[in-house]
Amino acid sequence: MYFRQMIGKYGEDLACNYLKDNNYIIIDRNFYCRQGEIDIIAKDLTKNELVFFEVKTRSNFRYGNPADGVNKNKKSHLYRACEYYLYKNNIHRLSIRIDVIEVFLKPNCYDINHIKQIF
Amino acid sequence: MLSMVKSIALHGLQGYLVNIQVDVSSGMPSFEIVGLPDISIKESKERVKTAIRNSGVEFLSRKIVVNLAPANTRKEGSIFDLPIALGILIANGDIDSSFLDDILDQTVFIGELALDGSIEAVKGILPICIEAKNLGIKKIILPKANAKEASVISDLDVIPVSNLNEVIDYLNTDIIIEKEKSLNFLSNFKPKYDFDFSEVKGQENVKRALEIAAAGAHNCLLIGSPGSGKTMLARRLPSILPDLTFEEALEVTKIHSISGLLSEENPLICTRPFRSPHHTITETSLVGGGRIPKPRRN
Repeated sequence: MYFRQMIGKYGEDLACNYLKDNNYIIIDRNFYCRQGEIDIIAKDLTKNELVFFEVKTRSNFRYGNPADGVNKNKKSHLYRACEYYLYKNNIHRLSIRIDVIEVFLKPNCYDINHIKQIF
Repeated sequence: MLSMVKSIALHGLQGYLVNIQVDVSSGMPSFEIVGLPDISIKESKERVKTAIRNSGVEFLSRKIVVNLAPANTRKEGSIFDLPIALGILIANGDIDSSFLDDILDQTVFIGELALDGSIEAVKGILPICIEAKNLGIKKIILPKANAKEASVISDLDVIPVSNLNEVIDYLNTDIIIEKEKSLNFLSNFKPKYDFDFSEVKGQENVKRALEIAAAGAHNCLLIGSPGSGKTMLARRLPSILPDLTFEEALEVTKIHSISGLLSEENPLICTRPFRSPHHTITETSLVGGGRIPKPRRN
């Protein structure tokens, strides 16, 4: 595994731990399809919504904030991948939310920024 | 859930009822407006979303479909911001009271939303109010800045509002908003003219001709040598024109209303309009123009 991929994977693990601590149940991780990829699929127990997460991890700010990496193109891939997931699993009657989780890696610690409802 | 809110759109000087149907359901989050909206209505999406959020109400991610019925006429302007926002809130269950259905059935909502949730003035309130009265609607909720203009119409409860939270509380029957007093502007109105007919000395023949022309709405041609007072007399003609009747005043004010030329101190135009176009003016320029014909400004 390349170093860049390792950073991404580590960020997703951190995000999962964060979600578990905040009353979410993780349903699926790294769902791939032709339309795109969904990093984490979880259920928000407080609001009873199905939430799709895009996790963006960065260890420096040389190229902007992590969330800047989720551009129009990425958003459309995410949206269509979510549609495909719902279609494949026959989910019709659930409230859907799409979130972005930013993970900043710093020496010996990390910051998590949860951006809710990007659509 | 589905909700229906009433509003009125304008087609020229004529208003017509628009039913704003909002459906909020689960599914992939999206926000669509259908029913031939133009760009200014399409853009109201963002204003509505942000205004709701900034009013302290949670805007959940849902599949939202807004329909502006009748769906076959093109609608324009920002007057549907308020009814769309309320439709979403009602469909979402944020507004709920036992009288809600009765209120919605007899109320028309008009207003443009700012990003902070405050409600801003719109054009064309007078023709909208006239149409509301003709349709037998009892109540109209509109921006505070437009309340004076609407209060000219009798038999219509005008509820002035200044922000979205106020409307939410009003519909939840948490607060009561005083309705705007209807005023009769014609009775205490004395027009002021810069040039008055009484200032003219002599010229008895011309004065008689102008008086007849003014009283009977006739044409009048002034011929004379330079400096004899043709322009001076013509300028003073407006001051002897007959007073506007209430119906005429409404008709004149309607045009001012859709052009957005009414001020709050002067909500009803009571002076007879008088134009002095140059004799070389083209027909097109005289009547105004544009893709949607509009009166010329001055």
